[in-house]
Amino acid sequence: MIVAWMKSTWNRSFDVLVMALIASICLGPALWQLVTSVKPDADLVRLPPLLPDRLTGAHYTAVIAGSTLWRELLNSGLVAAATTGAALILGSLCAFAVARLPIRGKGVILGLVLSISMFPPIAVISPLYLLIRELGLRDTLSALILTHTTFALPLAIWILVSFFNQVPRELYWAARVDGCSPLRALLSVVIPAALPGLAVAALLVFIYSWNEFMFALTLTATPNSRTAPVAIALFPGLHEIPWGDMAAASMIVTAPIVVLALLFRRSIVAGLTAGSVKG
Amino acid sequence: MTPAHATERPPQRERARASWSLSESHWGYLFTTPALSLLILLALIPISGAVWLGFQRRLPIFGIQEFVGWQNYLTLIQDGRFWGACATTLYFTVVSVSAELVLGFGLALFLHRLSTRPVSERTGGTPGLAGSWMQAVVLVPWAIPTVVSARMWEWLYQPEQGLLNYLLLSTGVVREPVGWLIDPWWAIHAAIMMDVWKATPFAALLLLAGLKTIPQELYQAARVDGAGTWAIFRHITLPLMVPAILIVLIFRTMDAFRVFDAVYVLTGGGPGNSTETLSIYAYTMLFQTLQFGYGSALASIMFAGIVLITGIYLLFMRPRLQE
Amino acid sequence: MAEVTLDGVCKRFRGREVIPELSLTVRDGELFILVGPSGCGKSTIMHLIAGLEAPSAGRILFDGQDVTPLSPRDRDVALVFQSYALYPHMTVADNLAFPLRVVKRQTGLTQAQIVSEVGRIAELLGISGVLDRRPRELSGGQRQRVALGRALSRQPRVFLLDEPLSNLDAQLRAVMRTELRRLHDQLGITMIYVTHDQTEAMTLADRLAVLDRGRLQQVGKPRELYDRPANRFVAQFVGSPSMNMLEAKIKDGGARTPLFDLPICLPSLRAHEGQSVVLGIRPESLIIGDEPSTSELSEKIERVGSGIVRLVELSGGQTWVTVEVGRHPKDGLLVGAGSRALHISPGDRVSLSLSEAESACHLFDPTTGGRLGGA
Repeated sequence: MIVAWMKSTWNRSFDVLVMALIASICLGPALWQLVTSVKPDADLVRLPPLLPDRLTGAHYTAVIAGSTLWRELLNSGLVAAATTGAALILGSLCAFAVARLPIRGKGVILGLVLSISMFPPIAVISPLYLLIRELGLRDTLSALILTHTTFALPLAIWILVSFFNQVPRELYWAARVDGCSPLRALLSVVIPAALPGLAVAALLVFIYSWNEFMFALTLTATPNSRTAPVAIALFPGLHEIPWGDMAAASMIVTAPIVVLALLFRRSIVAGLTAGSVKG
Repeated sequence: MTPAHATERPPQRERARASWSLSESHWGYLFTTPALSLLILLALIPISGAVWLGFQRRLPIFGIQEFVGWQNYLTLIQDGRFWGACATTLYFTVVSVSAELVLGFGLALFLHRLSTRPVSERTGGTPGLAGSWMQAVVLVPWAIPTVVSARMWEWLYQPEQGLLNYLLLSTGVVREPVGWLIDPWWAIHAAIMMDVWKATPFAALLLLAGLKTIPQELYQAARVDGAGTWAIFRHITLPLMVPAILIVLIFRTMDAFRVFDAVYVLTGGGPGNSTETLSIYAYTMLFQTLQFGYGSALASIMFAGIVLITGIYLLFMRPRLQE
Repeated sequence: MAEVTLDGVCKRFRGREVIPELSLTVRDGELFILVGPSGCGKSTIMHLIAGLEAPSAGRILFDGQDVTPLSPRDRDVALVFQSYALYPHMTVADNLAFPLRVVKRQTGLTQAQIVSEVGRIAELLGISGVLDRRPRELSGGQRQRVALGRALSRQPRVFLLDEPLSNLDAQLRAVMRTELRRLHDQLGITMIYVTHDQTEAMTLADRLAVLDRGRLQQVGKPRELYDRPANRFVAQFVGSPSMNMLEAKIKDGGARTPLFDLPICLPSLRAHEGQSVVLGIRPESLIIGDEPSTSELSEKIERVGSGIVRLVELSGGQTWVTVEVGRHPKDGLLVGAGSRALHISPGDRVSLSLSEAESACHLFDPTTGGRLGGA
């Protein structure tokens, strides 16, 4: 009895200890960034103190008022939203055809999709840069939306195929017998039945686009089309980085995506697994 | 009994409609066309374009564009910086992926234990709650944009004001501040550490999904048969996890091999060229020295590397999956 | 409403023949049942008729009009699935209205007409009370009714039902069977119905077709299939318990089998003198009696042998008795019928008799399995 009690206590303490360790490692850097973002400049140049005596919002005001960050955030939002929409529309059509329609070369399509998701972006960036410049799209949001959609499509298709496959075949057949064309059946029956899958795909595509760096860095030149990660990477400061402002800017850029991830963490975990393990 | 709408449709009309109504497979090709055209136009053609550019000497600012055959590749073979980048990339990939796999497996086992452990009578509470919270915590590093996490770690790695050195110094682990991003040896490991921090959760979540597919009955049966914890892990968990492990290895190897933004923002390839990976070297050639031909040759080599790695994994995977 | 004809229809999947070649006509307004063990190609035939799959060869005609190239939406058929396939995100009312909304443009139905049509269907099936619920909030029987309603709402020419009752419990199944019959008689619609349950097929069908491995075994009215099964497969598939099959040899106008003490003598057997045959006897024709008492035997009942009781099953008014017969144990197990008054238990010795031997015996060719002679 006592042994059992001791054992369960030991087990519980062990669990709690490991949980605390994991939490501090995972959250530590982000929390430290949060602390930094509200520290007065004077406290930034030295340690200790770990925690400041007084909090300041100066870094946030500086970033919002004194830089183009708000513009870059807007760009990021627009690009990510448009990419999500486009990838979902094109991805649903393609994934549905692969999952349910009698077409040849499904293996080829899935293979192509998988191999494109493995492409190193650096391997396509030079011709893509020349192509976009040729089209006169350099430094526009459209250029980013096009490339992000292309490279998010494999992810979207992969996830959607696995979710469409979970919608019973009979539902599609019922819709067809009830008089729907395949497009109508997809729109009014299959997609509503696979809505969680669409949400997962949308989230992952949005996060991909929001976080993407190499294309955004290469295809943009000015704050007019620059996205938030590029702004963070090119943060002003020639020799000495203004760490407080940087921390504030990182917090602003990270907050939406982390909130999104935490709100929909079940879907995201499901999506990460659907997109990979099922393959 | 005959409702208003049951009007007879003339057979001619039926037939006319049938003649243009698309068959299922036509709809299928129609549906795949937009996505496939985009993929071909902006992914397949550019990748072939990169190979083609690799055979050229191309300096757009000077308007130079000429076919040079294998010359770029011959130059590459003699380019010490290229071999350095190769070594850095391989080292980065091997060390970070192994660390992510081992740590990720441990993390997955722990998360699994949290979600499956029976509720203790005394404490009550939902068994999955702690596990669910931990999943949320673990998701944070994954969700933070790579560029932002690079900046975060850069701040942690600062020699004087950085938190990491402060903690190590004040706990007496080190005597002198570590030059995380200044010392070439430390710089590559700083980059690896950051990558491990960011990617281990992803590995853990995939492995956790794999663990969940192992039926509990197997563990119970093994325990009844008298197997200990290690024996169970060695003979049940590990063999059944092979597919999940391979998937994690493939995904992580690909990502580590083509790593760009994390290292580019954290160290910019420095100090010296000590953290210059192939992606960074290629990017520098392409967009800083504007040698499109040479940079594309480099990029093509990387692409070949990816194909090679995929091939090796597939070779390993096929017999394993057939078992 | 339409007559449905399959004309030399053949279906291959990746080179494997699921339906070798099938020709079949379902009459206008008929309740026609396709029955066979699972994997015999019944559902594939349904899909071919509905247009969800295209035949590899052959034609499908509705009222003589070739519909083979038409897509499902242009065939004007309705299909009830085994899993019901109710649209999970729509209410019952929306499920019922969906087929009408889809073709709204062609039929020019107004919203009000759709609503009243949905009301009529719901009334007909007794689901008016659940119109605003979602499928997952319904009981199995209600789901079944909604599935029927959705199929009926568009007044299709052909009404296809793919194992519609197999997801229901036994009691509900009996209720729905009666209901389906009533609906069919009320609407006079052509119904093609697929099931693996021969009892369901025999009790419900106007005519039925027995299928085995994609091949048509026999088509006819339930009574015809029962009384004159075309081959061993049909004979054993139709009727419950299954028909007893005995190897026998015809000699001197009598069928002799090692399992029975006495030969069965019938005038019709003379045509097969000297042949080896398979003798089929339905359990209800094989009367089990107490060994000593032979007094019950009337003229029409002929004692043929004896055996040891192995199993006694009470099924309603009937008692089915499994009897081990023959000189060696495990020579053969036969199932026969005992009267209600019979008191026997496993191990008892009982007598076996044939009731109305002329109609009780079916003869089949031992190699082809085909029915022999007029008997």
